[in-house]
Amino acid sequence: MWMSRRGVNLGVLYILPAMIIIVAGLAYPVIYNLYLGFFRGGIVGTGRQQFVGLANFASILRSREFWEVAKNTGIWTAGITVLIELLGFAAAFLLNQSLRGRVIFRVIFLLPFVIPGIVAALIWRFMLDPSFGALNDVLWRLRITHEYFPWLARKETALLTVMVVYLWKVFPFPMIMFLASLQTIPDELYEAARADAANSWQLLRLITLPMLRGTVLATTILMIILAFNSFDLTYIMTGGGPVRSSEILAMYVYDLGFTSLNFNGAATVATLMFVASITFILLYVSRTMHEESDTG
Amino acid sequence: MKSDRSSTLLAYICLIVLAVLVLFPFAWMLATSVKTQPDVYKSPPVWIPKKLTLANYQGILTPKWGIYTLNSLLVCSVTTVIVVAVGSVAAYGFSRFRFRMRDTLLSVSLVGRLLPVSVMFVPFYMMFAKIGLSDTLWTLVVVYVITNLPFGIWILTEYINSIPRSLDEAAIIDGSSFLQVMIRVVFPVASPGIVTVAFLSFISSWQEFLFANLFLTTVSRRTLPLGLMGYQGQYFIDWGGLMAAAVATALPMTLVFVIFQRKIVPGLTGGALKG
Repeated sequence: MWMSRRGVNLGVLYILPAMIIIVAGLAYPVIYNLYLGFFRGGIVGTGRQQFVGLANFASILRSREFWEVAKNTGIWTAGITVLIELLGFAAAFLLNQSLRGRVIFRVIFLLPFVIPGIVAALIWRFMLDPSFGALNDVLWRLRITHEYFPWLARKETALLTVMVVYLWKVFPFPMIMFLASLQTIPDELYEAARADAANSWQLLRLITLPMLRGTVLATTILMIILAFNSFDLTYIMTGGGPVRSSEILAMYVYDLGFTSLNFNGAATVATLMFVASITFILLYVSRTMHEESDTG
Repeated sequence: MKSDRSSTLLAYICLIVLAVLVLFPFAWMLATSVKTQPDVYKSPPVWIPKKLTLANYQGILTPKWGIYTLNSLLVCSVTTVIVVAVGSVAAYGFSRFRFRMRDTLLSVSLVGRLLPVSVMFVPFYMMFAKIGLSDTLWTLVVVYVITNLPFGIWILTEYINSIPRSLDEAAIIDGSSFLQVMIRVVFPVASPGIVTVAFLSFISSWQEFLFANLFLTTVSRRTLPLGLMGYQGQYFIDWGGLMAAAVATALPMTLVFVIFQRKIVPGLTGGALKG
């Protein structure tokens, strides 16, 4: 490589400012959380921090709250990942057909992704209102429900409702990933298969899906990570309620830290979140970097 | 052929149904923003209002809203400039140079993008509180740069990787230094990627609510998302006003996106998506 010898130190200079920011900005919180997890301090971190060993971890892992939130997070992450990929794939598949006006549809489908999360959350909260919410009216008129229902205020439906809103907002993301992949599949493959009298279903099963496998894997890992980290939507729509039925882990960290003012507890859960997600993160990173060096 | 025609029809029907589902909330937001106050709260909801009004938009014409907008513009612009400046230089370094830690550090960037935000709540809050910088816009800029830089570096590195080195080589043979090559040759060619990163950083900061809510208590320092939340009182939510404000907040970004979507969308997938 013509730059490898002379450029050894120079390259480091170029990346230095960025790397300082990133390493400081990311390593610091992770390490500080870890540190706080082993201590207990006064309110708002004032006063001395006392070493308590694994007491924080023990009490968190023994609390019923934590496992309830963990269960919610599991339902949330798994449910969203599966459904959003199906939805994203369906949309991508439709957009991949040579139809007139598909660019317009593509722009429309991307809109939820582009608007601010807070705007999306508030519009939906308005539409889900039990008295004047548009959604309730539509469902009632279509005879899907018998009466107006407080979707966000009942613990049976709160989590699922926020999941639906998340799907609406984020489905363009897997859609775009799948669409990009679909467009790389050469038409000749399909034509050749059709010449062999394959029907549409076989085309999908034997050509499209296998060629999409890499993208599906990457998108799945990415969605798991993104869904797991999610915070904004639940915070604005339900605040975790009612009775923590829609509370997911990121929300729980916030709750412990800033509502209960238990900073050490919050840090403990944050560390647990970090440990849980690092596997998937490293998985995704190693896959992506591997592809990089393949094509680079 | 018949089966082709019917499957095309089916595809269009599916597209239209999906489009309606996607667009409905937007339509409802717009409609509500021009309804009179009583109409907003009618149960069952009013589908075709008899009277339209712009009264709900009064909230965004106040000086308070102007300050929020200014604060948001300030924070987002500074963040974007820093992310683009630092990020593109770093991307050039990652792309054009080989050094020992290259892959590791690039991976660190990617990890940065995927880290849970919740990991940053407590440490950042405690740190900024201790320094006494808790309630300032600069704090927000720092946090936004930290959260947007990793992804920016990643996209830009990929982008610059796709620019053939022959361009660099030609300039170097002509006697330019690496720095000159970077500024005069690579960056202009990488401008679509840079624009994409700028756009993404800007909208990501524009709509950021969490840290803004956490740090900014003084009203005069608030950003737009907080302004939106301000429409919610303890017992009463001014939905009409809120929808109007939401339109005002979401519209600029949406328009920019629709106009420039041809350039932005390919950037999202690293250039793999056509037109």
